Amino acid sequence: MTAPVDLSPAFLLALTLLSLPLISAGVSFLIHEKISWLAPITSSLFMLATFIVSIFLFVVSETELLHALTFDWFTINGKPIRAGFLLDHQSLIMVLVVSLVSLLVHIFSIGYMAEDKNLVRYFGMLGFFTFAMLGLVMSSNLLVLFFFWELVGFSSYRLIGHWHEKRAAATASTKAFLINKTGDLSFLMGLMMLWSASGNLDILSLSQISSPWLSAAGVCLIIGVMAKSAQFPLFNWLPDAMEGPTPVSALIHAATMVAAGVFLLVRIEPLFTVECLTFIAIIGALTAVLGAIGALFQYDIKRILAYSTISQLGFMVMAIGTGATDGGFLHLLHHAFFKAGLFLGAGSVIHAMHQAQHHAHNSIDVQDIRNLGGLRKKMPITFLGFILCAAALAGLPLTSGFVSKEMILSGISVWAEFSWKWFVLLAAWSVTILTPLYIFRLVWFTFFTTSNTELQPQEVPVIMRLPVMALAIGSVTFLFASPSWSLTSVVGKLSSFTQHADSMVTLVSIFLIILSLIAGYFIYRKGEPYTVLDPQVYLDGYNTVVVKFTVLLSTITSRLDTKWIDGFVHGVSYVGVTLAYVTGWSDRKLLDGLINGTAYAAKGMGGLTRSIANGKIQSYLLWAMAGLIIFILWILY
Amino acid sequence: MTIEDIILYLFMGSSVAAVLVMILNRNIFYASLGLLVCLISLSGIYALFQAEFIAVTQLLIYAGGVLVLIIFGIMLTNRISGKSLQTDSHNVFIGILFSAGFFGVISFSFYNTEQSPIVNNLNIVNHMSTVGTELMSTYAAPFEVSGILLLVCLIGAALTASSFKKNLNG
Amino acid sequence: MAKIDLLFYLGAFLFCSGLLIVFTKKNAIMILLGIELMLNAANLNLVLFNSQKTGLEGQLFALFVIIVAVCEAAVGIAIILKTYHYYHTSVPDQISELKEKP
Repeated sequence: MTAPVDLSPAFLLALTLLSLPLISAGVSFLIHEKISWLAPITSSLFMLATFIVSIFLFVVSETELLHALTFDWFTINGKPIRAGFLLDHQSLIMVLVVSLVSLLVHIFSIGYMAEDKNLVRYFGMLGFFTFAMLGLVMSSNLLVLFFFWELVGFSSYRLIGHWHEKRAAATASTKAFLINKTGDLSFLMGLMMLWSASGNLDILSLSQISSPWLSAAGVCLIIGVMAKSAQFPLFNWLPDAMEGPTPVSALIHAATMVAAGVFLLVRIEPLFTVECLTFIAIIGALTAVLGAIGALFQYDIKRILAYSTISQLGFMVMAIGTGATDGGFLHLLHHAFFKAGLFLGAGSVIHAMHQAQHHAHNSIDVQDIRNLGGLRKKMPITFLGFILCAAALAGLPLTSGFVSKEMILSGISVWAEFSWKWFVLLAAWSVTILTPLYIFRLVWFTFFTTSNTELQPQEVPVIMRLPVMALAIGSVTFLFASPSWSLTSVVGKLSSFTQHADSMVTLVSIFLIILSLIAGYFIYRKGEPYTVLDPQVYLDGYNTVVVKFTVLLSTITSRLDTKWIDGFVHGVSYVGVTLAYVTGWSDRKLLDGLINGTAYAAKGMGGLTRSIANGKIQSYLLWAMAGLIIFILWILY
Repeated sequence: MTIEDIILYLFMGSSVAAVLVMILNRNIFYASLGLLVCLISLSGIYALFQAEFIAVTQLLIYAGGVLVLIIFGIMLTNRISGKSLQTDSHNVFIGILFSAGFFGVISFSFYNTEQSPIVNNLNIVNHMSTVGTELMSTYAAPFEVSGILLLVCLIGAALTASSFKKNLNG
Repeated sequence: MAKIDLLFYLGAFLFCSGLLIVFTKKNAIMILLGIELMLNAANLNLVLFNSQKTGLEGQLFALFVIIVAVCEAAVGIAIILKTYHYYHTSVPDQISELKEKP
């Protein structure tokens, strides 16, 4: 029984919105290899259309608040699965962000991927990726959401492995895919538990479910999120995924792949029990701190950003776990802007360096920040965009990151007022301190210090500068106010924010950020970046101190060994030998007989089955016939 | 017992005998001749049951076409010229067991089934023209599809059997 | 027993004989003959059932079965000839490249 589909304008708009990226992917794949230069243009135009439609949808639903536009898809055991769009403020804003970031990534890719051989495949998968993410964001049912979730995983696999001729890229894409599959399995199990508990997977009615299975289902769903959003035990695919093209990394990190997990957490937040929420908070705290520390010790510009993403995602997840869901979601939106900006900026740097390297016939690793430096003068516009996004990431006042970060921090400090939960609060504060430090390190060594190579990078073309600048401006001004989820200016946002935020927390965090920046300046000022925070230094220290200590310790223990322990060891060994004789006897007599018997039985069984599978088609037919006869008898009688 | 009944039992007996020849004889050529006899008897049975078109088709296509094809196949795969192609049997016991078992299952099911009352449609006058009209009107689509199938399989069989690659190479 | 029932048993007998030939005979051409026999048994059933009702569906279906059988025979013989040219035998059991030799 399918109910008539509600063909309201909003439904049609949502359908158009969903189908445009898919059409873009289809058109891209249809374009012949010989005219592959056409693919970037068509898919960018399609993505522009998608963005415009998403704005329309936003405006339409501002006037009339829409909820689920659903229809019965199919029925299992009398319970209908309802598919459709759930257009509320969360999904609408997310759609807007996804389509905008995707559009900018498309535009950036025109420049970045200009010399790639597989443009058709690249842009096709990019469109498909956007389609999957938009479907995920708008779907009203967890089962439908799961389908798009899988599609997101698949297209990220294809895009990470875009340069699959490179062995590292192929391995990285497989790794990402497998880890995500692990999470997906858990997700599916969670869905099954929910289904058996309530027979209803509609997102809107999740809060009404009450069942003893709820905690288990929640944990299963969280494990799925952990794989997709790169949380603590399952985050190792994300740094490896840097083998993909840089615009893809931007898309994965900002709007599509990893954001999906956090978005899902926001969506199903009413489902979680207290235990689940605590679990989420702890996982998020661990991830945030580990990611931030990881980002401090990387040299590869993209890997620094990848660890930064892990840290920020942990931050968001922590926020959701502690009940600051609005703050977490807001941070997700802001993070989409500044992280996409950072990645596209890094992509510009890499591109420019590659071009310079191409002219100079040099073969250094251009993604290594030790080889970069002094780009501030050579690429001023990229620098400007990058530094704005970095400021937003660090959470400097007057940027978007500041607002959401303060919301999360005050939320956590309310939550963690007493008991052992201070550990989560500590993690939040340490992330607040570490984030400016590592991003300062990145900016400093990329743009400020004098270059130690003789490469002469040029500023990248306009088509690549434009998206970076757009994202930078977005991360400074483009804010979403949490109570009404509508667009407001910075000033309005700040005034509304100061009313319900803890001013003490804000002051302390501003103070900490500035302190950390100053500390970073003094640490890295001298142009010898690796004296203080280089793992190499720790290794050296280990050599001098720890090794000597170990040698001393081992000398003492060896003395102890010869004096007293040997006697004990001899005694034990006599007992051991005696026991060994006993067990050897029982082995031969008892166990061997058993094992031989089992082996004979297995051989007999094998021979029996072998005689059936003798490679003669007629014998196979015979046994198939036997099966058929049994089947007919079973059916009839 | 009318003369038609006698002819019917005659056809049935001849078909059963032909099938027994097929099973028991080791010579493939005789077996194919047995199949020929069986097919002709079946077409006679068809004709007795108001299916003249099918009967004629059976005679033309099976007895005329397929059997000739198979006999060609036998001749072409006859390695030692002059000596007729023999075949051995295997899986004899278990094959008989399963075939008889299946026969038992079918017969038992048929025996236990309620027979619907027989509608006599012997009053249709001209079966041949009715079949033709039906074929061109109601069953036009499957008819066309089967024509395409025949064409495809003609080309496929010709391509498979020919050794054009060898010719291309030299 | 009515004579039409006897004919149904004849159909079953033909089908099972075809089955037996397919199972037991070693030569590929004999297997093909067995398959033809089975198809004919099915055809006999179709014609018989058609005679018990108004309409001509059974007969026309039998016609299509004949067409399919013709195709099957042609392609089957072609494959047998091809394999015979390649392996110099038309016994399927001797054409086993993947099986380990005893």
